Amino acid sequence: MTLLTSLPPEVLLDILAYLPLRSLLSFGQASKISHQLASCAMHRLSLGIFPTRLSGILSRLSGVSTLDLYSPSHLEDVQDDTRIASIVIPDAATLNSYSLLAFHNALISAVLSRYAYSLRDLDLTIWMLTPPIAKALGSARGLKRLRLRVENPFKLRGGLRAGDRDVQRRLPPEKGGLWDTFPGSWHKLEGLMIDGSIIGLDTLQGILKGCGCLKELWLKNCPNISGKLVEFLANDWNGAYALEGLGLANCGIVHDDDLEPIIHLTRLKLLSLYDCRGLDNDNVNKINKGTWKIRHLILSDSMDLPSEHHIIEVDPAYMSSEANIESSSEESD
Amino acid sequence: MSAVPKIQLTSSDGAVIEVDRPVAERSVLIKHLLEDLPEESTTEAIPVPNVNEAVLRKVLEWCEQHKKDPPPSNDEDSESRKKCTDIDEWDQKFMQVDQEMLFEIILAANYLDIKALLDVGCKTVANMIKGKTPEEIRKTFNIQNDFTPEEEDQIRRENEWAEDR
Repeated sequence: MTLLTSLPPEVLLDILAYLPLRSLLSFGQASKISHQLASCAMHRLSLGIFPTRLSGILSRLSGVSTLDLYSPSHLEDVQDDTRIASIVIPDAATLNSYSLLAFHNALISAVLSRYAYSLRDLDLTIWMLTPPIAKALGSARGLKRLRLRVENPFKLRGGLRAGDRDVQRRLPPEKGGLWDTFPGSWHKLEGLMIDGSIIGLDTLQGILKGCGCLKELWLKNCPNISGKLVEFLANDWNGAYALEGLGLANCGIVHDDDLEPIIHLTRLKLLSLYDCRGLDNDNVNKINKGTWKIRHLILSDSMDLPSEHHIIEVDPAYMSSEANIESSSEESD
Repeated sequence: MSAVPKIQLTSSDGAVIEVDRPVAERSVLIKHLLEDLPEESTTEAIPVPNVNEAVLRKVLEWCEQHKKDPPPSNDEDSESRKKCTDIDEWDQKFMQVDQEMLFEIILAANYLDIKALLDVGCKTVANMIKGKTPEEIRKTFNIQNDFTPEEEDQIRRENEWAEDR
């Protein structure tokens, strides 16, 4: 009699790759061997902790609209919603920020460490980088795609209210140097997206030096990353010939001159400089037409992109009731 | 009128099955084998030692149905394939077999290197796992629960983060 568990492991992993998160974990609870298989099959994961359900949904919406929409992989990919865990902290409003942060640290680092060796494609939303999370994330050495978003839960729309005078509603300052955990960790990265980080140029360059096969680099809301990054990418980096997509959105100042070395990024098909300060867009457009000839060039004024200031109208009652089906009929009225 | 060339396959239990060459070439293994053989020896039956007659006939039925599909491309992104468990109607019906046969088809597709059939098989099994509790999964696939109650409890707690709240 041929049993499921007598199929070859590579076939079993193929089967498990189709399962949504909860089904995969249920499979892992069936027996010891299925537990091992399920742990090995955790290749994709999208993980985030949110203080309220609404803030989780809004965070995902804004993440999709601005971070993914114009990245090359998105153009080819179907949005994958089967491996998403948006964790909502029960009664978050009654807890102070230190308890909330401790919960956040414990949970994210536990999940990441458990699947560190299996993870290939990780979409992670954290509140801030903390030592346990940095350690766990650095040990995920097989990562091929990493989207790391840092979002302060007390500043999120739909998040916790900051008005309460009795409770400290803010995060402690991030310890400097934690991002230095990562250089040398991710040699297999093909896509890296960092959003909202204080990561410095040196550290980012350190990470990139280990990633010679990176096809996509996307940085958003990283104030310490400036146009100087381009010179490094084009002239001092062993991955210059592989890079196909580059995004620098709302980071540090980018001058027209900084962009000159882009000509050496010969495989670049997409360049986004959306919300970059310091650029003369007309000039950049002209250079692209004349020399770079990059197929997709996205500048602030070149397209009507949804930006951070773009307000997504969501009726809180609709979101919290989760009565999606009943409500959809009202929408069509 | 040029007739479609035919070839013969011998199953593990000795049955000789005649089949149109393009149908059999849905199997990358057989395709490569035929390419390597000198023209005159393609009249001899090709042994398929890992697959019995019933399973081989079933696999060839699938190949016949899908003989006009575009050939599998090598550069397809294996990750993007993983995201959708939709199966077309004919394939769904085709896969309505007992578990033994289903796993045998998967093994044969794996051995004969018929990627599309392997995918359909894997999706079918994935759909049988989806939405079930651990106990239902054990029952469906005849899996022995070899956890101690303590271990089971610990793993259940480990998985709590992913539960719907």
